[in-house]
Amino acid sequence: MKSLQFLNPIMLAGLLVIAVPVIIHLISRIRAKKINFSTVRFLEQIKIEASRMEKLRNLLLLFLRILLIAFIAFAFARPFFSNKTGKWASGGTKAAVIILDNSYSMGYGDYFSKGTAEALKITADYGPGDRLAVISGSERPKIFLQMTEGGKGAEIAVKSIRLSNLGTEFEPGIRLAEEMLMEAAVSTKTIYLITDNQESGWTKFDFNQKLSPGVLLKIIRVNENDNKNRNTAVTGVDLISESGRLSYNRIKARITRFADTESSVKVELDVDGVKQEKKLLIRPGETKVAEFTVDMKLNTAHQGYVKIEESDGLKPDNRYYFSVNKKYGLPILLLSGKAGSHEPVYLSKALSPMELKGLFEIKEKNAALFVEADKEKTRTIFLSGIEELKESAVPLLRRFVEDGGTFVLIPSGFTGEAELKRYNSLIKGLLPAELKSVEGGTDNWKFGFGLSPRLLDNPVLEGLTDPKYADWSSVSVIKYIKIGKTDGNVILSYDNGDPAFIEKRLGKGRVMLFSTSFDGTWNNFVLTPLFLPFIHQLVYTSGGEEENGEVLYFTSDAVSTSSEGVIKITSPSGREFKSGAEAEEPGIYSYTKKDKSVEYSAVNVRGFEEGDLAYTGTEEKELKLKNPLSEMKEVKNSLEYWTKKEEEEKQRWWWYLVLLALVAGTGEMILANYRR
Amino acid sequence: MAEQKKAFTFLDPKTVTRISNMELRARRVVEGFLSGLHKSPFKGFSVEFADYRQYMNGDDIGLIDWKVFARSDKYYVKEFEEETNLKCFFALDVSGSMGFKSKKEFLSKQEYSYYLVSALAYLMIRQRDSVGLVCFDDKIRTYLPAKVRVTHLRRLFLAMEKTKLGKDTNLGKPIHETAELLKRRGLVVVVTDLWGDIDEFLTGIKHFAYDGHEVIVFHLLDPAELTFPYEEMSRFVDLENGKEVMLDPRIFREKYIKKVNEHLNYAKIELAKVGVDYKVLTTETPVDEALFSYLARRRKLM
Repeated sequence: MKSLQFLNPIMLAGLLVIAVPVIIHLISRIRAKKINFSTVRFLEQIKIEASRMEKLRNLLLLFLRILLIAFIAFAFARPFFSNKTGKWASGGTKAAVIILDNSYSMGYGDYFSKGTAEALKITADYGPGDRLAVISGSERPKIFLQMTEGGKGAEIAVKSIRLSNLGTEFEPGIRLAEEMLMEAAVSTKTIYLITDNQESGWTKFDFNQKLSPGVLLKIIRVNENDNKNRNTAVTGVDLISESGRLSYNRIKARITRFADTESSVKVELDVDGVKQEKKLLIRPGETKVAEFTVDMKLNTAHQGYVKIEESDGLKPDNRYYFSVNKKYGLPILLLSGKAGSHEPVYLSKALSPMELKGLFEIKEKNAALFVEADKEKTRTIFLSGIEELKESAVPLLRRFVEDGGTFVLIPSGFTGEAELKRYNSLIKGLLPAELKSVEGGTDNWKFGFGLSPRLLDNPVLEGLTDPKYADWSSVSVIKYIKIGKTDGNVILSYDNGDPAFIEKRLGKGRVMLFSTSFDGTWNNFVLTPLFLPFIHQLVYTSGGEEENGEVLYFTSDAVSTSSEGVIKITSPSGREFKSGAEAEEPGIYSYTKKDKSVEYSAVNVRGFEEGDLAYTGTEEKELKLKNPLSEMKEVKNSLEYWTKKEEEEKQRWWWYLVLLALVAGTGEMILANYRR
Repeated sequence: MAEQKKAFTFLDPKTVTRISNMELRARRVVEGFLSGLHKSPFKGFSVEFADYRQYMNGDDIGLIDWKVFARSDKYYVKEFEEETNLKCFFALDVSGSMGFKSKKEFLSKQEYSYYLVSALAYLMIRQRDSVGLVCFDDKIRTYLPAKVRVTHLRRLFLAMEKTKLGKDTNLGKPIHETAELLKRRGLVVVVTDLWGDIDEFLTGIKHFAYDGHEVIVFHLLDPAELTFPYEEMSRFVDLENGKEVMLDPRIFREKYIKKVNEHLNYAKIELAKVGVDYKVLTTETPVDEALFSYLARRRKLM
């Protein structure tokens, strides 16, 4: 049953103004000038004659004026219809949200059981008519009980909160609680935060944003007498490779001592079940690195952890997991020309140094035999045999580049300008620049040109720009193809300024043109120490390779995989895990792929923040967050007001009332000025 | 002494001077005791020759016209038209409405009527007419028989002075009563604001007319009663019965003026029918001027 209610009922007092026309009439009667007149006989007569119409007119005027005032008063009172009656806000009831901190630091001593007991005590205080909600309060708060009248089920909800491996962050929990309280229409609103009150939990808190008016924060500490507890944590592990993509050779584990005493810690490393041990003496507040030498070949996957043993601190941060996935060779296609050309030889030698297998998967093919299937499984195509390339292959190459591949064109066997013209027209649209002429030659030049890097920040030149280690002038070029105007980036140029190596973006991929050969006849580049790292870098930057091979996750991170074809993720405890869900369990998660191959990733607790068991006071935080408005009387009703306002704004009756007032006002004006 | 002085307050020297050369003559024949300005129905001693008649026993020998006897050898007696004085009665309306004046500088109708009557009475006495007074509202309040002596004038002033304003105007009844009081034909000057029932008033006036009296009606009005010049919502209180009417004069002015004009026209027409000399006077016109112009006009018509 809907009833009429008002947003500003006080405005109804404006209805008293209705009395004004009547009062004016009476006052005008009293204040009307008294005139003694010889006889009122005629006045009486004419008044009686006019009286019928006049009376009707006057009544109508009075009616219109009363309506006008009533409409305005009602419009200002903002009426609306609602089912809720009188229960918008009842001063008698109270509402609260219990936030029970279940970050892993609460596992210290009996803190968590103390916290649970405190929470249960609060639930007992909330009886019928009151409203109660329960949430867990880590960096990822979870609702265990929605705002419920009488707090039914609060006890069960509190008991069902378990200690987690998550870190402490108070803001999400407090804001969530505040939001839940917003919906509760009562005058007393409290957020009970039951916690060890770790200092690190407040560091990200935005104290500028006070709590809503009327909401009080009450922090209940489970460790009232403790200011700091001792703890040692493994706060990170670094895998260090000294052989590029071949293997990890060293493991550095960072151990931090959060305490005012030093401690001797035994550090244990486990890689694929093979254990190593080290002892460290760590001073208060210090982070020390334990370094282990390992040989983790990247042609196979590895898992492990670093573990410390301690007696006085927290357990979850005593172990740090890591995992390494198998590195697959990067697929490369070498399209060569006539048999006997030297380019494929130098390139394949450079890409498999010291006969090391597994870094790259190299496939050689005659350019004339290039078909669509060849571009499917490769990221980089080197073309040295352009003379063999068929016209039909050009669109395929273009599509390959546009889809994200790298196409490198190396001239070989270029003889005359007629040939250059033919190539220009053949691979037009794919070339970064027009090939103009063949410059230089063994006969003409006594000394060759050196190369000089132009775009120092280009990834292809990463590590190859420091003259101490990379002497580009040692390259001597005696013959090259001069190229015309280019819209690509010139990465390397000859000493005379002509472009030597150009990169052009096309779609998602890129085309690269090297304007001299890789066969040792036009230059000595292939014989210099720069050639091998240059080619490797060129291939690495051609995409498909994650620079820091291993992805590290922390608890509360959403665990997913970027690899395609993953059909199942299994958590460390053996349960199936949904991709994209937040990991709570530290350990090694395994990803099973369609082809039954398995990859791994490690999830760890945030030991660096959560391991620091320094606590802070409650009063200061409570005061900082308290909204000064909460003490104002009107604020107590503000929620009621805003809830009503929302309802009222949906209906907007005042608008129609103003319209009616306008009509009444216009009618009054016309009638008042009407004279017969 | 003081009383005497007060009694003459209504006799304004200016008015007196202004009208001193004027006379108020009755147009009709009036019956008086003394010889005066007015035609008498009785033949007697007079300077105005009327007729000859045969001497009869008892006639004064001195009246025999010896010249006619010499010619005709018969005794004829000369008869003269007697010119007599008249009895003039002032019928003065002293109802409450007469106390009205719209502006301070104006006279109230009552005061105006006193000045008017005083001046006229003085004029009448001076031309050896006898003057009487009847003050009335809904009944006769003061009655002073007509006398010709100058001292009577003073009594008349005092009588007016002492008469207080009454209540309702009931014009018919007191006028009938006054008519009953007047035995001999004379002049009746009625001064009233005519706010009572005009038909009743007319029957009273007709009574006078049938009795052979000459009647002059001075319809005395305050200018505000004609123009209704008020500008704001006001309570109009009847001076006679205390009735209140609240209205906005701006709305009703036109209708009021129309109503009053109808009233005046009706009075004028009806009074003309019975041969009454009807004159509307407003209190804004000085008494002397009003009187002078009236008397001048009347003389022309004689």
